[in-house]
Order: sequence, then C-alpha cells, then structure tokens
Amino acid sequence: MKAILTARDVIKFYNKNQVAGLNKVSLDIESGEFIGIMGVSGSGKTTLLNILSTIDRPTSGDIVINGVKINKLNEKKAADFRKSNLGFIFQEYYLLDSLTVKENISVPLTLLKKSPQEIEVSINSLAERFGIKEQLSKYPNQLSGGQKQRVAAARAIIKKPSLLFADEPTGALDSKSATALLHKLREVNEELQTTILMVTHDAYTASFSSRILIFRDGNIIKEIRRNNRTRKEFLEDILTEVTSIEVSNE
Amino acid sequence: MDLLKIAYKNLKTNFSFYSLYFISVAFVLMVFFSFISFAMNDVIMEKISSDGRVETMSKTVAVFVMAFVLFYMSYSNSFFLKRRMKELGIYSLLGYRKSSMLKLLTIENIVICLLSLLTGVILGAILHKGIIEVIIRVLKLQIETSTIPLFNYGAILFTLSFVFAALIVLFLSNWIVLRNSSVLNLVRMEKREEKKIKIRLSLSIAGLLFMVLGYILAFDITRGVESLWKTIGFSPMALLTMLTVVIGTIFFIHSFLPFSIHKLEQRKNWLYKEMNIIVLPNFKYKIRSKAKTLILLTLLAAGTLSLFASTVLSVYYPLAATERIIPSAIEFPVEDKGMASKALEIVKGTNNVEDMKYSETTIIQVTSSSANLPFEYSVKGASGFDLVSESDYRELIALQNKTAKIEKLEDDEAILVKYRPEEGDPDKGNVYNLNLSASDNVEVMVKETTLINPIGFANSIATLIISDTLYQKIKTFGLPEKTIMSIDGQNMRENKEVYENLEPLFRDDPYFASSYQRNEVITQANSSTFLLIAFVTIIFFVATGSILYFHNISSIMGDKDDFMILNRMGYNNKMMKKIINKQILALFCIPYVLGVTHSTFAIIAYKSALMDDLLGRNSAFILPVLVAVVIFTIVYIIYYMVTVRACHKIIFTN
Ligand SMILES: Nc1ncnc2c1ncn2[C@@H]1O[C@H](COP(=O)(O)OP(=O)(O)O)[C@@H](O)[C@H]1O
Ligand SMILES: [Mg+2]
Repeated sequence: MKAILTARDVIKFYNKNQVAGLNKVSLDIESGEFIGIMGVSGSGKTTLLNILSTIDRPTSGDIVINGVKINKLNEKKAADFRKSNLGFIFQEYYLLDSLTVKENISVPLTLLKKSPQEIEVSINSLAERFGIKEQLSKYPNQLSGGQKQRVAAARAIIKKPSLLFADEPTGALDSKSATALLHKLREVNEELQTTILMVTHDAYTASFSSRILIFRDGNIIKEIRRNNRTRKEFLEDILTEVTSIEVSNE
Repeated sequence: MDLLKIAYKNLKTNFSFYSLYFISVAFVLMVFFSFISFAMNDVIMEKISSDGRVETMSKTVAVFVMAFVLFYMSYSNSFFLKRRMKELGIYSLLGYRKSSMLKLLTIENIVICLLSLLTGVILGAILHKGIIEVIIRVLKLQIETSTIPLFNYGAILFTLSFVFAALIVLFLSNWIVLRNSSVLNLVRMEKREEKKIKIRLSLSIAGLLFMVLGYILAFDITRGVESLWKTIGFSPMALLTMLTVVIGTIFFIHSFLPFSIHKLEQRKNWLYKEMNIIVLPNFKYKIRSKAKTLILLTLLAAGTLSLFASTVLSVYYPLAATERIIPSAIEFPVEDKGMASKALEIVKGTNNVEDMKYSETTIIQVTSSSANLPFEYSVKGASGFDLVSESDYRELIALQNKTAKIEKLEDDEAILVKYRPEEGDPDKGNVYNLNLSASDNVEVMVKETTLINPIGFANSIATLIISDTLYQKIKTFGLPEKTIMSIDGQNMRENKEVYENLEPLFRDDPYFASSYQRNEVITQANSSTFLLIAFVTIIFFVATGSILYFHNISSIMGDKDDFMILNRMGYNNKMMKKIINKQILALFCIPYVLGVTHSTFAIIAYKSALMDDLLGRNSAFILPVLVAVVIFTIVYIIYYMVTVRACHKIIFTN
C-alpha cells in the first residue's frame, strides 16, 4: 500500500522556552487506513491534527500528503489543498446554523464547482447512508446531537477526501449515537476507502480504528494494531495497554 | 465568589463587547450634549432668533432628540442584555438571586453611563464649539467665539439629570426582563431555537402591493387638480399614503425579501455557487431574525431623509426661484427721472462695480374682453395685460445674460410670459382681444408661452410680448404706461454694497427689488430651521448607522465558528472577506435603498403639494434631493467601511 501521509520530525512550540506541543513526531499513514490517536487531555493530539491538516504550521519538520509538502503552502494554496483533499469532523459539529442540512452538506461540492445535478445526487445517496433523509430540509438547531454529527460526517465525506480528520467526533454524543456514528465511519472507511485519522481519549471509540497511536507529552509512545482480531479483543488490548501506561506514569 | 468579582472578570474577558456598549452610549450622549449646549446658548439664540421661533423649535427638537436618545439607550441596553442572557443564566444556576443580578446590571449601567457621560460631555463640548464656529461663519454673525464657554454648566446639569432619568428607565426595563424570565430561558435565550422559517406567499405579495400602492398614491399628487389629494383632501391622503407605505415596508422586509431569496435558492444553478451557498441562506436567516430592527431602521432612514430633503428643498427652491421673481439684479419703477439717474449714479459709484448694464422698459397696460384669459391676467389688483415690445424683451434678456430662442413676431402674434408652467400649455394658440379704446381693438394670437420673464413679478405679471410695429401702434392710443428700470451686470446679483447704497433712496418702496436682498431674507429666515433639521438628520443618520454597526458586529461575533469551519473546508481568507462584505452590504442595503426610494416619493408629493412651482424644471427639485441622498450615502459608506473593518478584525484575529 502506498503512503498517503508522511510526517518527519515535526516539532511545534507554541511559545519560546516552553515545553513543546509536539516533540519530534514522525508517522506514516497508508491509504485506506483508519488511524486512532489516543492520549490524555493536553497531550498534543489536537495540535498534531491541526498541523497535519494545514491549519497550523510546525516549528520544524516536514509533512507530505499525496506528494504535496503541505508545511510550505501559503494561505491560499493551503485553503485550496484542504478544499480538494481534506475533510473534517469535530466534537462541536460546527454546522452552519443559517443553512439547511442539505445546504450544509452541499458546501464542499459547491466549492469544488460541481454541477447542481451531481451535488443533488451525491447528497441524496449520502443522506441515505447516514439516515438523515428526513432531515434534509431542516435547520441544524432542529436536530439532535447524533443527527447533527451525522450531518457533519456527511458534509466531510461528500467530496471523497483523501484524508478525513476527526477530532473527538463522539465527545459530545450519548453512547448509542456514538456507536452509530463510529459504525458509519468504519463503513465509509471500508466501502469508500477513505483514509481516516481520528483523535480520541476514549478507548471504546479508538477500538473502531485499525491502528492506534498512543500520544503523551507531544510524542507517540506506543502503537497498537488491530490486525485480524475482533473489535472486542482489540478493545481489551487497548485497555490493558492504556492502564499499563497510566500505572507506569504514577 | 462575589458576584461583583465574577462580573469584573466577565467584563475583562468580554471587554470588546462592553466597549461597544460604552462607545455607542458615549457617542449618542456626545451629540445630545452638543445639541443641548447649543439650544441653551443665549448668546447664539439671541442672534439667530428675533421672534422666539427658533427657541420654540429647538425646544421641540430637544424633546424629540431626548426621546430618541432614551429609545436608543434602552434599545442598546436590551440588545446587550439579550446577548448576556447565558451568562446571567449561569449566575442563576450558581444560586444567585435575581435581585443580585439586577444589582449587578444596574451597577454596570451606572459605571458605563457615567463614563459615557464624561466622554460625551468632553467630546460634545468640542463638537458644540465647532458647530458654533460654523454657524457664525455661515450666518456672518457678529459674535466673538471666545465669549462662548466650552462647557455650558446648565447643559451639563441638564444632561446629567437626563442620564439619571435614563438610568431609572434602564433599571426598570432590566427588572421587567429579569422578572419575566426563568432560569431555563435565561440559559437558552441567547441562542433561542429559531422557528422554521415560514414564508407566506400572501404576506410577501401584500408587502409588495402595499408598497407599490403607496408609491402610486404619492405619485398621484402630480396629476394636479384631478388627483385624489385634491378630491379627497390632503390630510387624509397623506395619512393613507404613509400608512400604506409603512405596512408595505413591514411586509416587504418581513416576507417579500425572504420570499424572493427563497425563490432564488430554488434555482439550483444560482444556489450552488461558492459565495451564494453561504450568503443567500444567511441573508434570509438574518432578515428574518432582524426584521424588526431592519423595519425600524428603514422607516427611520426614510423619515429622516424625507425631512432633510424637504428642508433643503424649502431653502433651496425660493433661492432658485429668485432668478424668476427678480430677473435683473436691481429693478424699480421709474416715477421720477431725477431719482432714476441718481440711482444709476449710486450704482456706478459703488466701489466694486466694474461693469454695469441697465435698461429702461416701458410697459403698456391694456385690458382684454376675451373669454379664455390666462389666470395671470386677473391676479393683480387691476386686471390686464402688460405689453412689452419684442426688441425691449430681447434687450432685457440679453442684459440678464439669458438666451431665448424666439422667432420674429408678426403683428398678430404674441408671446405670453407664464407665472408657472402648466400641463399641456393650454394658453398656446389662444386669441386675445386687446381693448385699445372704446371703439378700437386688436387681436393677437399666443404663438408660444415662455417662463423667461423679462421683469420681476412685483412689477409686471401677465406680460405679453408683441411685435415692435404693433407696440408702436398701440402706444399712440395713450393707454396707461409704466417704466421699469432694470440694472444688471457682472456679479451684480450678489452685490451687497450696491443694495446697501441704494436702499436709503428707495426706503419703503415695495416695488424696489433686489435679488441680493431677497436671497439674504430667505437665508436669514431659513438657516436656523435648516441648522436644527441638519442636526436632527445627522443624529438620525448616525443612529441608524450605529445600530447597523452594532448588529453586524454582534452577529459576526457569533459567527466566528462558522468562518473557522468554512476555512477548514477550503475557503481562503479572500473568499471569507468577500462573504463578510456581502453579508454586511445586504443588511446596509435594505434601509438604504428603501429609505432613498421612500423619501424620493415623499419629496415628489411634498413638492407638488406645498411648493409654488415657478421654475418648471426638474433640476431644481433633483438637486436638493441629491444633496440629501449624497450625505446619506456618504454616512452609510463610512459606516459600511468601518463595520467591514471591524468584522474582518473579529474574524481574522484570535
Ligand atoms: N494555541 C495555543 N497556544 C499555546 N499553547 C497551546 C495552544 N494550543 C494548545 N496548546 C498547548 O499545547 C498542548 C497540547 O494541547 P492540545 O493539542 O490541544 O491537546 P489535546 O488535544 O491532546 O488535549 C497543551 O499543553 C496546550 O496547553
Ligand atoms: Mg483536543
């Protein structure tokens, strides 16, 4: 499989003389992978995600996505890069309140100047997949949290990004909605071959991925692969690893 | 933790928010204070008003301004209170009682109002000084500006008591809001669930229809005698028109605009464009959630603009009409040859006169027994036509530096000078029978009519220009005559000294006419009114502009997340700036465009109803309206740019 993202020795200092937000992080992501990044709050997960997704710039180090050296892009080029390559899901949904669900989902394709027919077709098939067909003409504040997050996921996926970044996507959801969303992400990953990079502090959420990077103090300290195990076995493995790290920490 | 301490922390974190509140109140108080200082300034008032008219008027305006400032303060207070509901809800959840929250709000208001008062008084005093300076220049008053104090203590005391009264009002309104809200809706009020936008076709059509109907009613007045304004009456029609336009405006903004955008959105080729997909739904949403404010702003802008334009018109129009009322710079009937030559000597001898031209015109006064006489024929004491020879006419016109395209008249032709233009030129082609003696008469046909009168209306009306040969023939009949002296020349129309030198000679002669003197009288009589109206206009323009500014700022503060996500999705900074600009522009455009069209129709009605149309040209009407619109436009452009800048700053700094 070919690498879709490579990061080499990425360092991020927010302030001079302070501890690094990222401390020489290197990682490779292959096309079609579902990566989970775990770590306690403040360990630098969001910082890593922002830097890998052109939102923030590293203090030093190189990041290449799809052969493009993204840490060298200017503001406009970076926006164009995100437009055609990246999708985002956040804990807080960030739907546009004044737009209907349908309009919200249409934005990324509109930005790519797709034809109205193509946009409508894509929206309908995704709405089907995410079970939000009835909600298309509603406004975000008429939806439940789970529905909102499914809309946000549909919006992130509609342009078939080569990389989908999800920062604590289940953080604000009840366990039922969370599980439903994670199954959808899994499905998207398997059926559409979308590469996903998901940040979470929760082991259960992480167990939906195929490879987990455990983060501490701005560094990857451990990697766990699911391989051919069931999700349940994978989850138990994750829990033991996390506990052992916590114990060694005390 | 003490609630005051929490509030202080809150103030520090929300500083930009509070500073908006502070600036808006300080600004309004600044304008208020400078107005009160002006109105309470006895030195100025004594000079610009002789009969107490200005005092009465400025008192009325002061009441108006006070009501408005009070409205504005309570408006911004509740506007800012609404934005803080969540914070208050949290206090409430923490167990604070409503009485302590009210105490907190009151203390905040006292602090902000007192600080604003201080700022407003200092800046207002400076502004007031500046205005006085301008007035003294414009009206050429003999006042030493240094004798006018910077701070008028009476005005300070007055403003202080006003602010105190305003604080009580704010206290009461906050008390009512708090009393009526539960913890739950305190927390939820800030981002209240938007009802699904229901767009009623009937209401939007009603909006459009009412507005168009209002315009048609206003325009109907130009039909003159047949118009509904004449047949039904002015006041009921004015009321009806205003009501129709107001209702139309309400539904136009509330329903028709969102409806049209809704229709636009259904055209997918339109909607699915990178700008439109964000801007159109946002516009619809904003119009709906801010409909009340937008309607208020539109009506305020339209009212202010109409008031201002009509004031400009009522000052400008008489000045422009002087050109017809006194066509030469100086005009008087020659009753005594010696006095006339003395007058000419005086004009010649005046220092700054270089090039003087004069002409004597002998008018023959004649009666007519025709049936279809023009209304001018009978408006003066003794009815009749004033006959002027064609060559005299040409000479006078040349003297006044005007050109009239007239062909040489035949003996049975005449040109009738009209007082005001009439629709369809009904006098043209009429044949008048002029009585020359008991047995003789002659007929002339009106070949054309003209608005270029050679002699002022004080000295001649119903002027009939006839051929030189006919004039000579009529002269032999010994009809009553009068001779008019017309003096003109370079810069003569504005020449103050010529008027002042001649004035003692003609003391109390009502037929002695000077264009300089007439313009001076008009300026003196109207400038104080004009000034007060200008004051009110500026306050209102600024107020509507500020309200738009605050609305945009506060809504963009809530939109920060939206722009963050747009940026993630691939909108670059330039595109996002464009989106912000379009959103702001749309909100500015509603009161601007509707305000301008509303007031244009109001001015058309005003002009037709109340102004004596002497000039018969549209330019005399367009110019004042243009002045008002240009000032309005400039104020709004400045506000737009300031708002855009502030919004960019909010979005693009962390
Ligand atoms: N904009 C910022 N400025 C300064 N420090 C920051 C900023 N963002 C994050 N940090 C710091 O970097 C570290 C990592 O934060 P973050 O990546 O948000 O952690 P996580 O997402 O794992 O909870 C934390 O110590 C945080 O305080
Ligand atoms: Mg985080």
